[in-house]
Amino acid sequence: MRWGILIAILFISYILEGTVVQVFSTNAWEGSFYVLPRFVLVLLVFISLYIGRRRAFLLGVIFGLFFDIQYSDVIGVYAFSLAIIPYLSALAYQYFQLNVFLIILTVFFSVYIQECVIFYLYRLFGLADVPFHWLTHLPTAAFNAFFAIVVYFPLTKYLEKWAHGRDEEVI
Amino acid sequence: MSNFFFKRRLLALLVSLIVLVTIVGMTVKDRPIPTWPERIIRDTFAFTEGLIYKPAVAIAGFFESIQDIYQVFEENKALKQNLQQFTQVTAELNELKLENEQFRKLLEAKQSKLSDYQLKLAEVVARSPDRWNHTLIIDRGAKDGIQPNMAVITPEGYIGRIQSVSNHSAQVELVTDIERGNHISAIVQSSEPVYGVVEGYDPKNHWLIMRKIPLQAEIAEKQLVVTSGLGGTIPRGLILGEVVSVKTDEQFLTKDAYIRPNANLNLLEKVFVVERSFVPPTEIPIPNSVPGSTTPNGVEGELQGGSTS
Repeated sequence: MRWGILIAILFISYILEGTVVQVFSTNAWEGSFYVLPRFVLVLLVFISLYIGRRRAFLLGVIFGLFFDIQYSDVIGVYAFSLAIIPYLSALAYQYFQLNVFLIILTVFFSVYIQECVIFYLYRLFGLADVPFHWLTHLPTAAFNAFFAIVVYFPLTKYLEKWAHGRDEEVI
Repeated sequence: MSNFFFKRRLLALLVSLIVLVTIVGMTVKDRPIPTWPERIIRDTFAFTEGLIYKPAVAIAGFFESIQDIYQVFEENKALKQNLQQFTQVTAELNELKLENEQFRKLLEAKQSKLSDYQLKLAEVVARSPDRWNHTLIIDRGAKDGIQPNMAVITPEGYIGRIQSVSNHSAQVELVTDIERGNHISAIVQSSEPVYGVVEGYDPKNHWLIMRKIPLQAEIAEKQLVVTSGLGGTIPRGLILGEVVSVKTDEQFLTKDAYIRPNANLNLLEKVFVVERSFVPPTEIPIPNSVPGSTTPNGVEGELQGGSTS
């Protein structure tokens, strides 16, 4: 049941990324800078921090495959990045006490790193020819950190109910 | 103990990297018709996303129309003037059409098949959230007669082509993703048609780049660029955009023209898939080079048949 609700939330945010957010960011395709929604990644970082990084890894693979299959012909890039990044972000924080500031910072860096990882993977396989600039993805990371602030309190309240799963996995 | 886990983690990372590279390598080529699990996932998501995209577009359109109310008066004036011009242009067009038909009859020339096409309405259900896949998902698929590489347009002009087809949905590769081999043969409507190939995109200015234009061709700004209908599944006469600037390319052998796309790619709701009436053969029969075999006659016949049609 708990997992059902969580997976439903992930599905809804996945669908929102492709539909509603695309409609309302109308000038996103022609502006000088752009903001991309990465709600699934944000939620996966939360899950990884509160419930367990291995489950987040598994969910990351599944939702990454959805991204790959639906939006591109190449399978693997999103599955890899959505699985690895929440996993590593949990590893980085297993010795710290979780607090708002650290989590928001983690989300910020996770989103930024994911953008870079995806870009370089696509470039590795010759699918992205755009020159890379490190400033381009800062608005995206900031926007998703803001999204993390918005969902922080309801989500952490919900996740802390079964947060002891995290203690089991800490080595 | 922790050292052991660290090693295992590193191993897992390396293994997943290898898996990534193999899977990407297997799927990186153009696959117009994906495997069945992919098709099921795509169709399911396309259906659910269709339920959400339409109301979202409606709400966004409502806000846009509130903005528009302030400009209605001015716009109305301009439109009325345009309308008067429009009637005149239609009259001229009809006359020209009649004239054209008469001349064709006199010359006994056949109607050109290059520009014949039918349109199929499709609704956009989703759009890729990232910047590297310029993909649209539409709610029509193979069951509705859509095939890979068909052109996709809006009333304003060409926006892309069908990249891959599932049963009830299809992926559209937008014209902005043109670097990946989705090249379009095009004409600049100058005093005489100037042929070239649209094969690049300038992400800074959001212009298309048309290359391989002959050096002596005279093209100027604001001339329209349309598809040429030569080869492929794109018919003649779909509007691509207008010329913004012209340059000689690096080797001083041909010209490059920069084209501002006519279609607005921002808020897409309904698109048309263009089904061409005349599809040229995709594979040109290659004559068998082995002398003395029985095949050359047959191949020659095929070639002749191809050239006359």
